[in-house]
Amino acid sequence: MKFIHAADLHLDTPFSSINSFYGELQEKLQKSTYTAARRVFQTAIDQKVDFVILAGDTFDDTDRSLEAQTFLKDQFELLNKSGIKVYLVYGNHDYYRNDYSVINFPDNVTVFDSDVNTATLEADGMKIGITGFSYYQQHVSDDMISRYPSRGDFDYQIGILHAGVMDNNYAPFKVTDLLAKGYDYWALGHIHKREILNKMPYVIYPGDTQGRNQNDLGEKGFYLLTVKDKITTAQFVPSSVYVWNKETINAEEDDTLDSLLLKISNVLVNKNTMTTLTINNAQKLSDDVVKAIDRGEILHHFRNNKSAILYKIYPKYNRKNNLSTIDQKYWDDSKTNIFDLDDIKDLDSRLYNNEIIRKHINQPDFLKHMQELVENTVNKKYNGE
Amino acid sequence: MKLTKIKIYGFGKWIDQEFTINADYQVIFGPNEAGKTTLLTFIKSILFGFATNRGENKYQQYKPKHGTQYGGELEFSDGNSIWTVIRVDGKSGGDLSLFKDRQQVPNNLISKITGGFSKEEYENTHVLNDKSIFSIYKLTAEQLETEIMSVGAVGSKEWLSVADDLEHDSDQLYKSRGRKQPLVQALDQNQKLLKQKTQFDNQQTAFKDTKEQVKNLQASASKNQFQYQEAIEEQNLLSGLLKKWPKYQEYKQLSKKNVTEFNPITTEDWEESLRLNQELTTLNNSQQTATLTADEQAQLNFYRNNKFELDDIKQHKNDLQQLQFKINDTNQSLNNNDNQIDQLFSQNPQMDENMQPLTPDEMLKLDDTPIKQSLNTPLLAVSAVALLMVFFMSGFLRFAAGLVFLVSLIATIYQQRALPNNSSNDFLKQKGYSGLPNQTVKQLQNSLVQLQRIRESQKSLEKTLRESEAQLKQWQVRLQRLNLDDQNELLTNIENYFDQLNIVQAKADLINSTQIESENSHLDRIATLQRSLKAILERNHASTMDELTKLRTDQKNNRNLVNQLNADKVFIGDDMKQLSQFQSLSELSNRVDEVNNKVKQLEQANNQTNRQLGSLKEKQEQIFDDSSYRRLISDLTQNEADLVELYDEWLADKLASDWIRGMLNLASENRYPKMLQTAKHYFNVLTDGNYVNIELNDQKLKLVRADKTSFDVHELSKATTVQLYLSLRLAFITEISDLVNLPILIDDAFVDFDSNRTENIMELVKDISKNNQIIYVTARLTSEIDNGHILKLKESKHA
Repeated sequence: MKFIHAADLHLDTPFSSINSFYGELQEKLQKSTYTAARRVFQTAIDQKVDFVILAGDTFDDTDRSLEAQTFLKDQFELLNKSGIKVYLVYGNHDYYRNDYSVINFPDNVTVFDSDVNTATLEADGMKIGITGFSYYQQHVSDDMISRYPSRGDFDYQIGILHAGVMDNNYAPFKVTDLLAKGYDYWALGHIHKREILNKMPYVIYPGDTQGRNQNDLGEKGFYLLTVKDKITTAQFVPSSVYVWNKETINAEEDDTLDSLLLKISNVLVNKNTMTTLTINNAQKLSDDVVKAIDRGEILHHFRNNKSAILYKIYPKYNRKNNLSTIDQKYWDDSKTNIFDLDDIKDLDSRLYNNEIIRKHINQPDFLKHMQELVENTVNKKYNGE
Repeated sequence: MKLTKIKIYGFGKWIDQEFTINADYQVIFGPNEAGKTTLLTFIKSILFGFATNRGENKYQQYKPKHGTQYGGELEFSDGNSIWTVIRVDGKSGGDLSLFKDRQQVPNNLISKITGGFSKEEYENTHVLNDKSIFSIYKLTAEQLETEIMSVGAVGSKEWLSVADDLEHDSDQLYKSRGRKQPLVQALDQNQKLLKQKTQFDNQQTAFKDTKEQVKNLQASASKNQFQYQEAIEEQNLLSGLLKKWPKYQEYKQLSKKNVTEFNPITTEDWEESLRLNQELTTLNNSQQTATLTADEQAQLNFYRNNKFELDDIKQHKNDLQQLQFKINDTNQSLNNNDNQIDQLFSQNPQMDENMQPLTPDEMLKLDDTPIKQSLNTPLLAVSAVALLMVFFMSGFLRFAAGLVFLVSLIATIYQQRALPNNSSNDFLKQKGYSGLPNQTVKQLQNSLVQLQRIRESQKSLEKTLRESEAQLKQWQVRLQRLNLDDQNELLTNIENYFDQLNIVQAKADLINSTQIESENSHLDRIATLQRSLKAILERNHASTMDELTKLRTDQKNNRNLVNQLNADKVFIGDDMKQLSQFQSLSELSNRVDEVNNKVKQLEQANNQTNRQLGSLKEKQEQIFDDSSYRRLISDLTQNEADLVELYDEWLADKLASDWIRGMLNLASENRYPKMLQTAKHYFNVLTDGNYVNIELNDQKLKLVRADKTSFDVHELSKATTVQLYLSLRLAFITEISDLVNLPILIDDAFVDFDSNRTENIMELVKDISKNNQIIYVTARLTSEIDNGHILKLKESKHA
């Protein structure tokens, strides 16, 4: 028996900061979530799998997903022609609402509702049970795992779960809870970073099928599972159109604009990558080169790259010993005063009232990120300007 | 640490020089351009690195011009060990080597000497020169106060300017009440886009709604369509009925009449009766012309007697007619010719009956004859001149002129007389043209030729006429003999005669033929015919032939009616029942109008539902094709990224600025109390005992004068404020001397101080140098300093 486990297709994801790229690339990026999804379904047909599991967040935007729904319907019909079934749950992004899902999927598709339910099917002479539930609101704080039944009378049982480990907003769970159910496979969704939480039985986050922003790093894809003699083997299948990538180069004091461009070219080698580049020791660069970076001239230089794409440049200014060690104590003391999350929130109510900024501030690693930025700012200021 | 020895390999002007430095303070004296400042730069360069050859730094390079090695050594003492710092030319700031008691040690141990200070920090704290003092002077009172308050940290002035810059940068990005800053605009844009987003219906709901609407509309449309079809069918039916209505009316009328056919006359009977009747009529008529009258007999006899003659006449009667035509024709032509001749004479009055046309030869002759000339003008002129001369000349000339006049006059007269005689021709006279000018003769020729031709034609016509008239006379004689000339028109007479003769002959023939049949059989035939006819009449209940004819006509009409009725019935066909439901045409017409209206209404309703369906389907497509929504979402995504980026940048600037200020404040707060104790003493020395105390109250400095009056910083004079600043700076160096103990470098910093104050400074130098080494370079020696502390540089020492 074979099946595919994919999650977080996020069809229709929009991309930011791509307006300066040439049109074809922009379009390819905008369509990348669809292309990746197509690869999932094509693999299902090519590999003659028995069924496909989609573990939530298939749609990025539930307000207007008709195109995605139509796309999925067409893809599901192709699977239907090959006799492949689909088991789908809705996640926090595409949680089910009234009037949602107006396009009817074909008969081979099973959509789970808000209650934990078990669907059954026969494949390869085995009786298979698939247990799962869909989100009907954006957040599910209930202990959903307790509602999953213990292993039933099946030859093979799979649990589908869109959730975060100990994340109270998203059906919190512990891996041990899952293992206690006695299932043969746990098909997880929600976390975009690919991770195998457990082997024997497998508990897998396949990650999203296409990276959605510069922080969504690395090759993305889904899992092809083969069950033979009760043994499950998991094979990762890549599906990203573009892989988000981070590279770092070191600036030297004798670097010119040309030598820097050459250094950048040398790291832009991997095909179908979107690279976020950090230029370390930017304080060593001459003012002209720093200006060229700040004005986006370097980014512009690479804008027509076809395959290895330069997405953004972050110059990193390191300290050139501009702070006396005798004042380090006061510097450190001041830092604790400055990097206070509540003070930052209170800094300006107009800014904090904006949902985007508020969300950004409430990100777990916001302060760390800010500290790096501030240090970079101080270093750049004190060195150059 | 104390600097004890300076050893220069090559640095600017200095080549292979060695100086020993006092551990407490060292005054280096020399005139301008003696190399004092270069010496101080050498110390900084060996400690922190040479100036690089980039940017502004390249002007601070001191590479020797000749082959000597760039760099040198500094020797420091920490009381126990001797530290030797060697720096020579090399990459980025030069190659450093560090020795402790002549043992090389790792380079990073230089921090034992520098206390971790950078060159900039060292310059900002330990180096005092005219430039840094002047810059203090230039500050505004407020800036100075800030500067004073933040003296507690290393390089506080630079830090403050960085903090100000960052504050300024953050204000460029966002101000809470701003409107133009990028982050403010991004926020506004975000609000705008979100508002736009709410204006889009939920796609799913919209799709579902329109789907439902389409379904309902389609149901009502198909119901409507069904009704419409029904109405159209009825409309067609009624329009058929309407067309059949007149026939239906006719049918109704006809069917009221009783047109049963009864004993119809058979075709055989009818045709037989007609034949019999015809024969009877002929037989009856033939009996009335039995005999010829006497005249008729006489006429017949005359014909028989003159048969040959009369038949010949009949046969040639056309010749007679031809002859008559010919005579008439000839007479006509003659008349025409006469008219032409009269016309010719009236057109040419000079023409005469006697004139004859000229031959071609004669015409030529006529052309040769000179034309009659006018008076000889030159001759007349001569005579006139001569006459004048007779009157005006005298003597012989008068006589000669009179002679010329007479001769010329006579010549002229003679000439005039001679002309007519020359022009007369005999042939003209002979042909009857006498007395006519040649020109006229010529003009007459055409008409004369015409006249001659007509005359010839007249002659031949007259001959024909005479012959024809002779023939006619012969006819007349012939007819007279047969008494056929009683009327003028001979031909008519002949024709009348023969017409009459034909009738008589036909009659005679008939009489001859009937006389052949017997009288009896004729009557029998009539009786037989009458019997047969009577039988037919009786069979058909008619007494006379006329009656039978009438009967026959009636029967024919009846048959037509029956046929018509049948035709109507076929034409109306199945519609008979439908038609019978209507009492009148108006009732039918009303129904037609009703149905027409209904069709019209249904048509309109149909059109409207179709239109609604169309627009709904368009709407459905629009719901699917949500490119504008996608654009909005794309814009929103970009806007959100911009928002976060701009916010981060703003916050980073702001926090960086706050961080620096916070650091400076903390440093000041911690160091000030101790610093103030030291600074109070320095301030007292510098102000010559004028101020006795510095107090810190609530982040504010109060300066207390010897008379116990206290002042705010801004109440001090500029010079006193600078002295306060210097006191604090020096107090700060003293304060941190346990962490950083580098020599203080003073480079003619107090040149503008009066001598009294300069002495105060020397006093201070001695005082401070108990804790911290001071190297003081100056071009001016004012107070008494023991020679052991003075190093005199001379121009001769220059390389």
